[in-house]
Amino acid sequence: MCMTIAIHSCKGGTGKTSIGINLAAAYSLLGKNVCFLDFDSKATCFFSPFDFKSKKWINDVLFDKCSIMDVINEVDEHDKTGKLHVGLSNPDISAIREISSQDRKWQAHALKMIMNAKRELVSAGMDVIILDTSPGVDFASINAVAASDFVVVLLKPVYSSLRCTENLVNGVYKLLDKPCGIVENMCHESYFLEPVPNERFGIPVLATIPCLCDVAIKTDTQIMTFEEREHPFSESMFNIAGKIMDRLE
Amino acid sequence: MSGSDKFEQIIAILQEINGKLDRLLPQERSNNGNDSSLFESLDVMTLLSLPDHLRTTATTLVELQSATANDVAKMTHKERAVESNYLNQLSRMGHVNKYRKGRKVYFSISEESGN
Repeated sequence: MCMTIAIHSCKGGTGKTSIGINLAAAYSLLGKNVCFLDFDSKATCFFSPFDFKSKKWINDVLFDKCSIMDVINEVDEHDKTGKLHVGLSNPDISAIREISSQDRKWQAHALKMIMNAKRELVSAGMDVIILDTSPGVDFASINAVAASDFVVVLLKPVYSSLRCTENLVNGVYKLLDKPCGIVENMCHESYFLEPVPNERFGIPVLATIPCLCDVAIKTDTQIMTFEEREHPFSESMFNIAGKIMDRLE
Repeated sequence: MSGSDKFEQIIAILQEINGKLDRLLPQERSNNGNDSSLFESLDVMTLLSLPDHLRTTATTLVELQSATANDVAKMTHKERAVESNYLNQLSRMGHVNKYRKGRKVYFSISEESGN
C-alpha cells in the first residue's frame, strides 16, 4: 500500500522542507520507493542537491500540460536500498505569479490533477509520496493535505505556534478526517527540562527535535539523513518514518 | 414498530422526496434555459465548509473522482440509500455533477458525463 504524507505547518520557518526531504531520504534508506514533491509553489524549493535543470514542473501537471512522470527525477548518487525521486515547482517568478492568481474553479481542477498524479505514482510503484506544502491555510496547501493519507504537522512549541496549530487541527485536519502526527521542531534546550508531551490536541507527538545549529546550515546544502545517519536529526527522521508506517500499515 | 422498521420508513420517505426533487430540478433548469451553470467544481475550501455528513461523502467523491452511490457507500460504510440522499443533496447544491451512464447514476466532482 502506498502512503501519501503531507508535511504542513501553520507558520513558515518550521523546517517543513528540511524534514520532508530528510524523511523521504530515510524511507529510501529503509528500502522504499519514494517520491518527494514540492507543492510549495509560491516559495519553491531552492535546494542545491536538487538542481536537476528540470524542463517540466509540478505547475505543468496542475495546468494539465504533462504527466507527473515527466516531472520527477531520481536522486541516484547515494547508497540506498530504495529509490528517491523528486518533483519540483517552477521557481521562475512569472510561474509563481501565474499560479498565485488562479481562482477557486482552477483550484478545484488542481485538486483533481493532484489526485490523478497520485494515482499515476501509485501505478508506477511508489511506496511513499511526500508532499511538501506551503504554510497556513491556502488552496495550495489544503489541496495537498486533502490528497494525503497522513499529515505531519510541524510546530515550534511556543504559544503562538501552538494556538495556530490548534486552529488547523480543529478547522482543517479533523474536518477532512486526516490522521496526523505532530513533530515539535527547533525546541530550545530549556524545553527538555520537563517531560515532553506525548500528544497535543488529541494528536500523537511523533518526535521532539532540539534546536541544533548545524542542522539549519547543513540541511540547506545536503541531505543529512544520507550524509550523517548517526546524527540526532537523522535518527529523528528514522523514528518518524517508523511511527508513520506503524500507524498506516 | 421496531427501530429498524422506523429507519427503513425514513429511508423510503427520503428516497421519495429525492425522486420528486430530481424530477422538479431538471424542470426548473429547463425553465431557466440554463442547465450547466448550476454545477460548480467542488473546491477544498467549500469542502471544509460543508456540514459533517455531506463533507464525508464529498471527500470520498474527491478520492473516487466519479462514482455511484453504491461505490461511495462501500468506502464510508453507510447505507447506499443514505449516500444516495447525500449525493443528491450535493448535486442540488451545485457541488457535484450527476449523470447517467447506462442504467447507473454517477456523481462526479468535475464536468464528466456519460456521453
